[in-house]
Amino acid sequence: MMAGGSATDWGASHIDCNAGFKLVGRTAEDFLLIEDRQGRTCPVAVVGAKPV
Amino acid sequence: MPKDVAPVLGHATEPEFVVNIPSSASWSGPAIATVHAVPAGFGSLGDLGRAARQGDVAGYRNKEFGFFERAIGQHSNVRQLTRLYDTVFVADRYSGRALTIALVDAYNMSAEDVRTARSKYGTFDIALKMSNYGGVTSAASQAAESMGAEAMMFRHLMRRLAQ
Repeated sequence: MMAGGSATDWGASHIDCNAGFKLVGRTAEDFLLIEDRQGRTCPVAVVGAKPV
Repeated sequence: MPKDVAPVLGHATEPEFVVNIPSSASWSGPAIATVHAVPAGFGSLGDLGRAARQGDVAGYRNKEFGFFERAIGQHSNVRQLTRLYDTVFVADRYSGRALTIALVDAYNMSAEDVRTARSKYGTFDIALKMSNYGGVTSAASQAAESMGAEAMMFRHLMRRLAQ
């Protein structure tokens, strides 16, 4: 886990506005919900363990 | 070590992509296989951006890794290709012993690049420069030789796989 928050928090805070998708929410499983340029929504897990 | 990714894959809702942070963290072959079986893509936040632009997040595969996986796996002397990590493959050959190949992303491969790969992935037979640009320094070749390995460009790998 990252200092001061979870790996998911870290991922959410580092999404670039020019990344080609935007963050639109978070699921009960703590996945990020992203929306691509076609308007499709995808759940994304962020893992902080290394190496995976 | 799929155990690290297993918890995020054990929910009723499965992710279409798994991001590992930091982006420099390596992925083991079993972890990659586990994620691909969902099916889901994996990689850095940068990979997630590329996947989103392609419009197929779950089916995303890193193009560079895919190129080396196909090129090595389709060599006529390679019987089977196993992925140890995202950038390390073991090529079992029909003729000759198996070769462990570590991909090194550097413009001019240095001795430090070779040593870093050794520290990160353990022993390998070949440090393979990923880019066709730049070259392999003599210091990199010497460092590899000191480990009982070789450092080379992709064009030399095809010949080496046949030997």
